[in-house]
Amino acid sequence: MFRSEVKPAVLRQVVDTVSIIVGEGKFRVNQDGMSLKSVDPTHVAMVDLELNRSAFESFEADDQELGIDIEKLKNVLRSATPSDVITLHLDEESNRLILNMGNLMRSMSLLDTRHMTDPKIPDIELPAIVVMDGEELERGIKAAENVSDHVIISMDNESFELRAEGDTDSVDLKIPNDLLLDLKCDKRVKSIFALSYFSNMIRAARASKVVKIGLGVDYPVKIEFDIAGGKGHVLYLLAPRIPG
Amino acid sequence: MIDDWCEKYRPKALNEVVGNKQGKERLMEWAGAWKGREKPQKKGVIISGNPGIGKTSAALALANDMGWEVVELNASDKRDYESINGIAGVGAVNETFGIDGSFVPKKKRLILLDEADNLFGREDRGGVRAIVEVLRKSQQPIILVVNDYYSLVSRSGALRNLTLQVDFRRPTKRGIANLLAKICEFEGVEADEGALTLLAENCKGDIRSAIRDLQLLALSPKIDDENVLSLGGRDREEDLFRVLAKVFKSNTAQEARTAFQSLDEAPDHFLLWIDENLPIEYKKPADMYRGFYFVSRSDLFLNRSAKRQAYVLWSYAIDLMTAGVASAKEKPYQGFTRYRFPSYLKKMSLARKDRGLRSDIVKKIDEVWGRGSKNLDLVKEIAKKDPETVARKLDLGDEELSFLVKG
Repeated sequence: MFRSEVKPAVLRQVVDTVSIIVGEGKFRVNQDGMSLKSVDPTHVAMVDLELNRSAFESFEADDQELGIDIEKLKNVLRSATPSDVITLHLDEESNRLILNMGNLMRSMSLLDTRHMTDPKIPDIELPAIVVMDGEELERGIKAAENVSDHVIISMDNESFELRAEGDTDSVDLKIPNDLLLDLKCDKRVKSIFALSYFSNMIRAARASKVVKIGLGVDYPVKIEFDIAGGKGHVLYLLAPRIPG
Repeated sequence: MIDDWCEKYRPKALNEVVGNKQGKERLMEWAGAWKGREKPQKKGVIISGNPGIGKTSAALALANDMGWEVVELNASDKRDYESINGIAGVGAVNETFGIDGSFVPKKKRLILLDEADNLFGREDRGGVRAIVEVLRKSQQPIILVVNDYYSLVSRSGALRNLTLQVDFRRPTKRGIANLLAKICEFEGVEADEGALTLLAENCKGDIRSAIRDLQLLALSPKIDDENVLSLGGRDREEDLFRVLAKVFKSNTAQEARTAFQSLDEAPDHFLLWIDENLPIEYKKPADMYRGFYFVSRSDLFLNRSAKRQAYVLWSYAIDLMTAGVASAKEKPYQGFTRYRFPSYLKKMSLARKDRGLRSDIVKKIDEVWGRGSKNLDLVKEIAKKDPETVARKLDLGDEELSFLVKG
């Protein structure tokens, strides 16, 4: 059994954060809410999403998995207006997810979840953690995209730095400690990441004003932020480029 | 669900792969070079050979031997620039997570492009370009698996330079028969030794089809000569080049026709190959003249069949392009002819690329100055005078800029 009501904006945040990693999602629903763990086809990026039941207008679910085509869900959301409340429920007989908004009804067949991977999210200890305003970072990323396809992220106890180096041009965004919300850094750390993934993750973090980034030396980056006004949480992991 | 024996008995280690001792040694040597501090000079290998002889199995077994994870691009995946770059390209330069929640830095992964020669012809949307780029920047070993080495490297000279060639041959029937016997033992299937030898012989080196046949026969209580013969000889797909050679070099109409029937190729597509290669093969003007007469007649029938949706006319078109062309020569030309990919298809794919570039540029103009397509000609003129400023303002790539300036 699964039946819930949700505001389009909340569902859109879910779709936006998941769609940059996978096209098909295995959502787990139970009495606490909804969650998803996915790894992208190349195994370079992972997402761990949790949405508390309080993020929904109403929520009732038995413990089960729903295989959802994210692209389809995205399309459904295009026809929703902000004032709508979307009703989702599972028609167990036909194995379809039924979405109702106003007078519009959309049903979509669920995907077979048996063939979807069930990744474990690695438990990674990172020596440096920064909490900052996502908007400033987004500005740096936009500039970086013009010069390179990867970014060098580094931190020490003075500042956070994002660099991109192209063949002829470069971009540097340096944010000093006093403009950061929080900075814990035991030693100088630096890793390089594929910009396509990194920028999508930072853009997805728009859902919240504040983003938390954990970094190591040639090690994966952790990007965390809240969605649905603090009633949901997203964790991204992105593997670094191979040095050399 | 019934297990597919081809998957179930896929070799786990390279030395379990049947035959191809030399090829396997070359692979081992190349893989060993990845253990050093420096990356080997050639980061890619092209394994070529007929279908079903163990090319993909060898690649997967090698990865298993080396403890490499595999990033695989299958034949069913899309093969355009974005897809190849998005999967193989990303895997080539980034570290990755294990599905078990592990992260091991500097772990090697094999990037495997199966049926890489399927990137070509009408479906090639920058696929070759993407592969070359991936080979250049990769930090990881790459294996391309193809049926026809030549048709792949003829598309790009860079591919030849960036890769090592490993040619796989058909394994001996003895090797295959031994494998079949092992599978029978494992599955508890009773089989005559002679029947397995016959099965191995009939498959003409294609291990995959031999195992498929075996699995089918295993449904009967005992496998003997009689039920092997009941399968009939398997018609093996001949590749394009061999069929072309048969059509051009055969002395009888019958031979040319049957050669085409064994090929899984639409007649209109095959006619393009005939059209391209006829003047290469038929050097005497009179032969060429008669040959092209049949090509044009054949084309007429193809066109009629499409227009009237009357595909029964295909049989005339096919007779003309095979038997007709074969009979056009006075006598067969001796020696090996190097056949070419149809230039018409090449041009078509270039034209499509140009259209793609054009629409990208129009989009960029639209974003910066508005009225994208209407301003295109104006921007072209400006670009001819001051390419740098235009490129900077519109954020153009090299290809886009050269398109603007030349057009």
